[in-house]
Amino acid sequence: MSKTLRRQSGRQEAEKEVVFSVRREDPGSGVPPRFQVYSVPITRGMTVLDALRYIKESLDHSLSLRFSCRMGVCGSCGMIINGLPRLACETQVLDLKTDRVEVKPPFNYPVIRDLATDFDDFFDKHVAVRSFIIREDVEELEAPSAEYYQTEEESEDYLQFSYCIRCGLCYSACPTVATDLEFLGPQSLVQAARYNIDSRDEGLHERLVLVDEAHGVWRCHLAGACSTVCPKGVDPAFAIQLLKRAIIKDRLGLKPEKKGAPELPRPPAD
Amino acid sequence: MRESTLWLLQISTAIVLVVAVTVHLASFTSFVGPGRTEGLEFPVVRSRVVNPLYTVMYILFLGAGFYHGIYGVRTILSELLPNRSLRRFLVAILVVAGLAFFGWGTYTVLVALTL
Repeated sequence: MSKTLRRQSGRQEAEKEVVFSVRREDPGSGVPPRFQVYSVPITRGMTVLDALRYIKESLDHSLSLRFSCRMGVCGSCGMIINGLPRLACETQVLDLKTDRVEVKPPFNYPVIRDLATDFDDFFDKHVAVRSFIIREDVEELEAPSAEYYQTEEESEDYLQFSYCIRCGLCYSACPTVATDLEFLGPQSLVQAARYNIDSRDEGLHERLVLVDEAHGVWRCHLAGACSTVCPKGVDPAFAIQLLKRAIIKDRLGLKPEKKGAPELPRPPAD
Repeated sequence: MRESTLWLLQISTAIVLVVAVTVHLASFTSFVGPGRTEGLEFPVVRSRVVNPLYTVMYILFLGAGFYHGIYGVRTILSELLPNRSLRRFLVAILVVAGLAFFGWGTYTVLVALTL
C-alpha cells in the first residue's frame, strides 16, 4: 500500500482507490449536466456517503448532496448508485465489488443541484392521502386522556408499512411515476394502506375514495421495483394490492364498516 | 365516477370478451377447415345471424370490445400524456367514435335478423 494512500485515509490503511463518477448539474446555470470523476481512497467500512463527503471535504467543495443521520433512518441520502436506487449511507463501497462507482441523483425528481433533488411533489402526495389517524372522537384525538387500545397482533398487521422513512427510493424506482406525473406513487399509497389497516383508525372509506381515482392505485401495474429497492423492507407493491382489494370489497359491500379501537380502560383509583 | 367502477367494468368486459370471442371463433371454425368452406357459405352464415341468441351475443361482444379497448387506450394516455386537457380531448373523441361504431354495429346485427 502506498504512503500516499496511508496518509490520505488517516489511521486506517486504504484498501484501494475507487473512481467515483458523479453527475453534476446546476439547472439554470446554462452549463449542461456532466459526469465528474474523482479518485477516492477506500477503507474497509466506508460507505458511498463517506466517499462523497470525502470528495466534498477534500477534493471538490462545490459538490451538492443531501444527507443527515448517516445511519439509514432519515432517508435523506437516496441516490442512484451503479444504476440502482440506494441509500448512500447504507451502501458499502467495497460491497459494490467494482473499481468504478457511478452516482446520480434519484430518478423521477427535479434536480436542485447535483445530487440534491426536489421532494415537494413527493411530500404533497404523501399529505394528499391523509396519512394520519382519523377518528370521529376528534376532541379525544386532539387532547388525549388515554391511549387507544391495540393488541400486538393488530400492530403487527401494519408494522411493516410503518417502517417507511420517506426516503423516496420507491418513487424513484417506479416506472409509472416516470411517465405519469400525477400518479400518487408507491410511498403515499403505502401510507394510505398503513393507516387503513391500523385498528385505531376510522378513516378507511375516506382514504379509499382518495386513492380510488384515475392516478391512484389503479395505475400500479405491479412492476415491483418499489419493493425491490426499499431499504427498510417495506413492500409497497403488496400494500397497493391490499388497497385495491379493500376498494373492491368496499364497492361490493363485502367489507364491514371499521370501528376505531376504543380507549384503554382507565386504571382503578388507588 | 370512481375509478374502481371503471376498473370493475374493465374486468367484467374482459370476461364477456373471453366468452364472446370463443363463441365467435368456434361458430365459424367448426365449419371451416382444410378443404372445408361451408362455414363461409351464405346459408350457413345466415342461419347464424338470424338467431336472436347470436344477435344478443354480438351486441354484447361489440359493447364489451369497445369499452375494453377504449378504457385500455385511456389508461395508456393517462400514463404517457402529461397534458390533461389533451388527454381528455382524445378520450372524448374515442368515446364518441366508440359509441358511433357500436351503434353502427348494433344496427348491422339487427338488420341481419331480417335476412
